[in-house]
Amino acid sequence: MITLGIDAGTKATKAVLTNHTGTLASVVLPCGRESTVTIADLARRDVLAKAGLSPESVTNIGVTGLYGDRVSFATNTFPEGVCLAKAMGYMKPSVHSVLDVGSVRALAIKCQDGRLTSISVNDRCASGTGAFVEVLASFFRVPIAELGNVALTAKEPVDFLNTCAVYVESEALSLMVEGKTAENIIAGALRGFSSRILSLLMSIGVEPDIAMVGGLANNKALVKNIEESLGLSLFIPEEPQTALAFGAALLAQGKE
Amino acid sequence: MSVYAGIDIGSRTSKGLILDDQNNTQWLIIDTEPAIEATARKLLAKVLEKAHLTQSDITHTVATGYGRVVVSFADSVTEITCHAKGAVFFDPAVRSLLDVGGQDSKAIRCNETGKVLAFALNEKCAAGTGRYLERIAETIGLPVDQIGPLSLQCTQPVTISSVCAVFAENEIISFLRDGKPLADILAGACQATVRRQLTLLRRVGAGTEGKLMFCGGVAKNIGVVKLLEKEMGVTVSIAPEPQIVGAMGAALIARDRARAGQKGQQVATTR
Repeated sequence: MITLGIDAGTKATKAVLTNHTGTLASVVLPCGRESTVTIADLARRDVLAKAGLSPESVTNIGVTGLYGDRVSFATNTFPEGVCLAKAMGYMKPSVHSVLDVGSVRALAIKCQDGRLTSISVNDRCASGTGAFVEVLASFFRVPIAELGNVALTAKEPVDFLNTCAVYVESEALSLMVEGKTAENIIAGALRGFSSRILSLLMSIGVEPDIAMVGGLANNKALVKNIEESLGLSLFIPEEPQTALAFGAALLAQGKE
Repeated sequence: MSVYAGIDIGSRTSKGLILDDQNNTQWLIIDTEPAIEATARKLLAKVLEKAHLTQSDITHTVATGYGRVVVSFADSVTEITCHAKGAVFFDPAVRSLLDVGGQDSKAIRCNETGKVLAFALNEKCAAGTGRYLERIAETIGLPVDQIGPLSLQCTQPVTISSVCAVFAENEIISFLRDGKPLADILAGACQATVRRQLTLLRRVGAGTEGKLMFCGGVAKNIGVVKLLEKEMGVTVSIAPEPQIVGAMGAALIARDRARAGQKGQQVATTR
């Protein structure tokens, strides 16, 4: 049975096609001003084209994500934490704790055998979500995908005092006036950020193996900070951004 | 000729005020630049020029605000102390004040001489500060000083559920896409701002005795002022220029210290 999983997030819509062998194709489409259902439909077409399949070949469409309920053509809707647990159960069953840092919310879960056992969410304060990193990247005019690499070149990361995402700019500016380099400021800011998102994970108890998903899992500096704090390696799937969509597709396999 | 100078270095703007022995004042507001000491010197030079005075006419200078310790040529006094002093100068009936600046907000309770009895500060989170409203103005594409007047034209204020300034922006984009009237969105933003301030005010027991003064740049927002008055059930007192209350207090303290130095004893603020 071929199923489609769609994760309708704030910054991007992710679509994954699966069958009994696993993933057939996946896409990540950045969101703009169009409606959720428009971009979800685009993602569906793109991923089908990528797999060389027709829309009729899809049996079920599972949807998740912050705007999942607006994807009217879905057959099933699943909560994010449940999708994440399912995806981990398939990809790496030894994982029991997962961090998912999105643009406007961060999620930490505990899971066992593909089932969600515990969950903690931060959607109140931007300083613990991707929004903080976006502000940082925008200030220094560095593409988000490059930010981690820039941070890794830093020799003396600064002590970044402010936690508020709004104050990032003024603090970064003051530090630059003091003569600190961009990479040292970025590295310092990311270090503070990593401890904030780690505390979300700690709030429900850390149980190895630990995984990280979401776009920020591609940020090598962030991952390095977290691994150093934990004293453990993180499992990061090949495509960390599509993990939730993958989970939704898997869950849709089990639906008639 | 003896004049006394007060400098308030804020996150957004720096305020300089010169005071003489007859309570005449001359003041100026400029943008704070990242180089703080340079900003302070520039500010003082400009306000002296405005007053047709020179550096040598200044007997004593006090600096306050978040950049105060960097100002090498002045005494440093906390914003809390300076704001309370400045507030009772402008309105002797004031016993509590709310100062909402660019990046922080504070609630203060004081006595009739401007001595601080209690205070509460928020400097960690941009929610409810000038920056919050600035970002909203930027998102909508309006000058900040239009938020207040426009918000008064609302028919049904939206509710912004996010405390966080960054997330509030996302909510506002949704409201704009849904076609909600600008006035309603702005009223919602002013509402959210006041909600944050009420927490601080309650913490110090503000408004229970005497008058409440509202100062800082955000006090110029008529929408926020009216909502604050509605929530607190009082008419708030607002200085002729709400942004200079801190600098006024600093200048008054500079004068007190100069006089104490001359007389060799502590002198309370006199009129």
